[in-house]
Amino acid sequence: MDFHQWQQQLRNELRKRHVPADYAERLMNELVDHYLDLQEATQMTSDSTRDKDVIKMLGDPQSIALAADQIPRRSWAARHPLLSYLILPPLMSLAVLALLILADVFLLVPAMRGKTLETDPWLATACLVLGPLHVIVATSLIALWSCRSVAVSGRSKLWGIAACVIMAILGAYTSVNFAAPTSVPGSGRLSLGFGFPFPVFWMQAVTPLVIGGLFFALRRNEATTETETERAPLSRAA
Amino acid sequence: MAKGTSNPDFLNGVPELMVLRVLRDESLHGYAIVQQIAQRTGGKIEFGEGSIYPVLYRLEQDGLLTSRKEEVRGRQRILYRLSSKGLKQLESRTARWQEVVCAIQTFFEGGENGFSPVATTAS
Repeated sequence: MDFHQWQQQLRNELRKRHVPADYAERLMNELVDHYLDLQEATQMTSDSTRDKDVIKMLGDPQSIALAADQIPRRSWAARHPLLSYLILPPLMSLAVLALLILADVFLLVPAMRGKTLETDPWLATACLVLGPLHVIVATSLIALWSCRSVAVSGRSKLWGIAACVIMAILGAYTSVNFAAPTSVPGSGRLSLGFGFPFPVFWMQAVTPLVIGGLFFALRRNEATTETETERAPLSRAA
Repeated sequence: MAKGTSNPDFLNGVPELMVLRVLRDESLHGYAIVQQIAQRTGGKIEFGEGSIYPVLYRLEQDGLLTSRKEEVRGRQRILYRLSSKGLKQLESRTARWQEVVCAIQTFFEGGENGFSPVATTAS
């Protein structure tokens, strides 16, 4: 088998194992480079060394493809952390907020039809809680998603913390207000804006920070536990 | 190294440790890493040289190595370098490896619990 056949065999093995194209391409390029180095080196040391000996040194295509297949696949988020954990979270959070408000329009508004603060005093409390709750749900969901995504991807936990901080800032300055109709049914208002509801709705900022803090603590504990688990049998052995 | 054979299973994790150790001193490309390992082990540790690249990619993905492209004599080469995380990993893995080596040595030398050394039994 010459080098060209060897390359073809490796390429087929990589394709068979669905190794990502960018990895396969990089591997093939580096192996060609390695092959050229080996050829140069063997020409210097021995004239009798043939192409097949160089190929033997490189190893068999199946083993290389198998080793390449064992490289954990990176998710899209892991490959684009800046976009995934700094730019997308605020946009996703606003999208979730928009969906929640849309749900209100279809579910809450019909339920409140014909009601006013005079007929239902609980409406005041409901409206007071509902606005901040929407922001908390939207920012917390995205903070949780970011932390989980970071944990799965194996990226630094700082990306998750950064996403939580961004969510906290967004939460602090996002204002969703429900104004219940006072005496005339149907005169209620819903307003969305970016201002300074902080510190009245401090929970909007604190909740993503708590998620980020818990994530940081849990990841640190996991790392400690892993190290201790790995070391324990060795300590006993030593 | 030159024979293109594979490591036995008990050497799992050793190529990674050796790559980290070799890259502690300087940035190198794949071929040079293999040569360094061969040189430093006196050719005792053997594996298919092509298998070094998946090892390098995995270490890079774990953040233990960084890579950059460089043109050398008209050829694009990828140089690998140890990251600060890699340096920490190297230190902890080396310490663990030394513990294991020490424990195995103690075992074969008879151990603290009165195991007879192999050489004594044989004679």
